[in-house]
Amino acid sequence: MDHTLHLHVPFESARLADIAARALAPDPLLRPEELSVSFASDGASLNIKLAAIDARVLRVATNSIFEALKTVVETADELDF
Amino acid sequence: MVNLNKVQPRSGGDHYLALGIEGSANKLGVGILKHPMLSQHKQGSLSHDCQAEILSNIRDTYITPPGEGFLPRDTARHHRNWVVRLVRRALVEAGIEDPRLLDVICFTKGPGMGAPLHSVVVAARTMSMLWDVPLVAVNHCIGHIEMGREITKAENPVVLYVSGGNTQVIAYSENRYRIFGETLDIAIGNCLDRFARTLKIPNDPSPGYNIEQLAKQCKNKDRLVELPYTVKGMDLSMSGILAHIDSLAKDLFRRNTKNYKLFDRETGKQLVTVEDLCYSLQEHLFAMLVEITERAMAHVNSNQVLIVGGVGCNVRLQQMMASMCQSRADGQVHATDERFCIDNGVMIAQAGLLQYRMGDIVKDFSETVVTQRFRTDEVYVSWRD
Repeated sequence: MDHTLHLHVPFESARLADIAARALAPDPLLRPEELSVSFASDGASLNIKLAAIDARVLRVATNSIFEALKTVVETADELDF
Repeated sequence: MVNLNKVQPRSGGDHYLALGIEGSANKLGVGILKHPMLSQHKQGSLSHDCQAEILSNIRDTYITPPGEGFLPRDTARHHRNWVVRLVRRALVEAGIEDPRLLDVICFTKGPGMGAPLHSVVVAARTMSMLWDVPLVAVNHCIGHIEMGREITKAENPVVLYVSGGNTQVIAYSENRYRIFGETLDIAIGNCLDRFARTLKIPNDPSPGYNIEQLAKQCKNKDRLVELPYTVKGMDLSMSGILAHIDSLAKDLFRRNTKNYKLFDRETGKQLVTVEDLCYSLQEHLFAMLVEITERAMAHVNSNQVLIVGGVGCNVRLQQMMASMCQSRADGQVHATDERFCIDNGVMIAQAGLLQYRMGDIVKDFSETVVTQRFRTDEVYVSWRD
């Protein structure tokens, strides 16, 4: 899997970065032989590492991660009391 | 004996609060439910009478243009766009200023479409961590059953669960809701929805509702259009009926006068209208449902029927079921209206809160992974004797 992408998403606080990592991590991948993803928080940064067998799989996975990430960010923005 | 008061309410007070989020199909529902903590729930079998109070029950439906069904990707996008706004509105309507006082957040684990389920669970997990409130994973079908029981107070009914994705006849036995009969192919709601697409009638508020309205306008109720009738033991099959009535509708629109079921052999005069087709489709499908429900009642020696699921709002189905029940030793039909029949968040909160009160919570987020297939009888029903 030589197509890789490392994302660093800044959050307001380490707490929110950690929440994002834990909200996104549990879901298993449909084709683990074509793609691997890991989520980790480092301080106030969410670090996502993707490795895929080709560029297409990488793009599709990145898109769906961003969609889920948007939900997390919006929830944290609107509903953090 | 069941003790529903095992867990102390979080607020330390005398009630439990649950937030329920449902998004397994094209409806996104958020509801907030309150159970008073009552001494009679310490023992006995009162899970159908929690004296639940509905603080809010909000739904937003993803509606597609006439002739089109809803696709998983687009439905998931709809849910992602609306889930936070709906939760916010539900909290405001319920008058909850601090959601950290909730006892539990309940979400639909399955069955349903994968992408919409996933878009909702991501929000649920985030809220659970933000507010430090535990999660409970709920089976969608159990949500329908428990909401129906709570609203109608039917203690031990035979349940007919009819919706866009499911068609099942269910009865309770030894801590499981057991499936006595079900569809072997498509769900009844799916059959109605797809016929509505063939007719290109609107999906607003729902395709089944619009078929019901057309069926009411049928002027030849004494002359049914003949369709297949496919009861197989305790099970049903509906795909053949759909194919048959679809081809009739197409012949009607094309004015294929060689189809003598629709046009007079000599004069070519049209004998059947779209309204007649809708009426006949409903009569055939519902008669099949009534037949297997009656047989299930005989099996378990019950005289109560509870109809749940989106198709359960159909008044004609309720009528036909009632006339069967009346001719069987004074039986009763229990049904609810569209607020609770059609997918909603409160039903997930109701089933989830029962689970929570029995001590069933998510301990690790790996348990929150959603699943498209999740049969009704997989759930251990700890809250009933």
